[in-house]
Amino acid sequence: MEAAETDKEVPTPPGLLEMGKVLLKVGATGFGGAMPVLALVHTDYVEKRHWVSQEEFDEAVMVGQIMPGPIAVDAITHIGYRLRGWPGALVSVIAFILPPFLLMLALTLAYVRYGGVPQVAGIFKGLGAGVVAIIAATAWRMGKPHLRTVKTASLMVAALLALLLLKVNVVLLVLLAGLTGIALFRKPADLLPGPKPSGPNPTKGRAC
Amino acid sequence: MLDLFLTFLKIGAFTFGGGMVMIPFIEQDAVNTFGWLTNREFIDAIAMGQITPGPVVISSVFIGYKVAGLLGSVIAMGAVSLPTFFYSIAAAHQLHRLKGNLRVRAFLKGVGPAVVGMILAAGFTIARASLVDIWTGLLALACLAALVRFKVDASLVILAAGVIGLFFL
Repeated sequence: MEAAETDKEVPTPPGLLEMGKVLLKVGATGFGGAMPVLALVHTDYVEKRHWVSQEEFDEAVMVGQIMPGPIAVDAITHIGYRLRGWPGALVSVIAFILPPFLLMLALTLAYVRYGGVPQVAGIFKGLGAGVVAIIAATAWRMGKPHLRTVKTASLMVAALLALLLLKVNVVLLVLLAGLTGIALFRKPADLLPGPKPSGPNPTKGRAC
Repeated sequence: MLDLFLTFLKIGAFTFGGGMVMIPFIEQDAVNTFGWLTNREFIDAIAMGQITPGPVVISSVFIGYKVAGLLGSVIAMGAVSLPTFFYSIAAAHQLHRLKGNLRVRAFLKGVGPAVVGMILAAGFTIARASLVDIWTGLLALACLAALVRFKVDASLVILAAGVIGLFFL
């Protein structure tokens, strides 16, 4: 049913090989988080090749935000499925993950081998400081919209304290927060600004 | 090995709100519960995940490797991607129902801020381990300014931090 709708809008669905090639490139060059990656996908899928319409692309990004898991991977898999069914989804996710997987594997091997060298220890001291900054920047960017109401701000602080001081199980914490959301936000007006679970905007920082 | 698979499956299944949310999850299970890696290695793994392109989840490769070599990295990466894969496909069929469902939106509206709190909590423990002296503290502040104020790309910031570390720390 989805496929029929896609066929109507996109006269020639792309070949699996072609899709794989595009996503290998995106996977290898997609630095900086979900939004920069999605921008690359947008350039190829919507602007250059017209595989999907703007509306379908926006829907895929929304799927990425609603569903658990990295936003870009969600969106890419979803588009792959709508274009070419199961094989399309599978090729998409593998092609996208493969380049960073291999790079990370290479870094891991280097780390296991040379991690103890003093200069390397210096590098990671610097990297550690950078990671703290990236986490703080991400939390700031994701958290800003939630500071607007007392309810959401309290939920944020409660989760912070529950994890930091009480070491509550993370899965339990997510489920509790969701149930609290159902209890607190009963009126449609509460939800008007739209569900933006993470609200990533094109600011830099890795949120995918 | 089964623990590795199940842990990453769980992480993939519950991290609403993007890859950064995986950090508190990974910390609780891989570092605190199973002791697969030290706190230091955990921070280094995340740092390496920031240098590489693609999602930050790619840090799973490092953890998998520590537990069971090459096969371990494949298992960790596969397990963490599996829920995402099926969710996205399921979404293709349920999209219009999900979009309009107020209960789903209320659930996500509750999860959104909580997830930020969880990322902050992980950030605190990571900061305590990484900011060991005044220099690392200043470097973190400089990086934060570059990211938030000047909108420099995260991968560039982390690379610069590594280079500064190599020569000065």
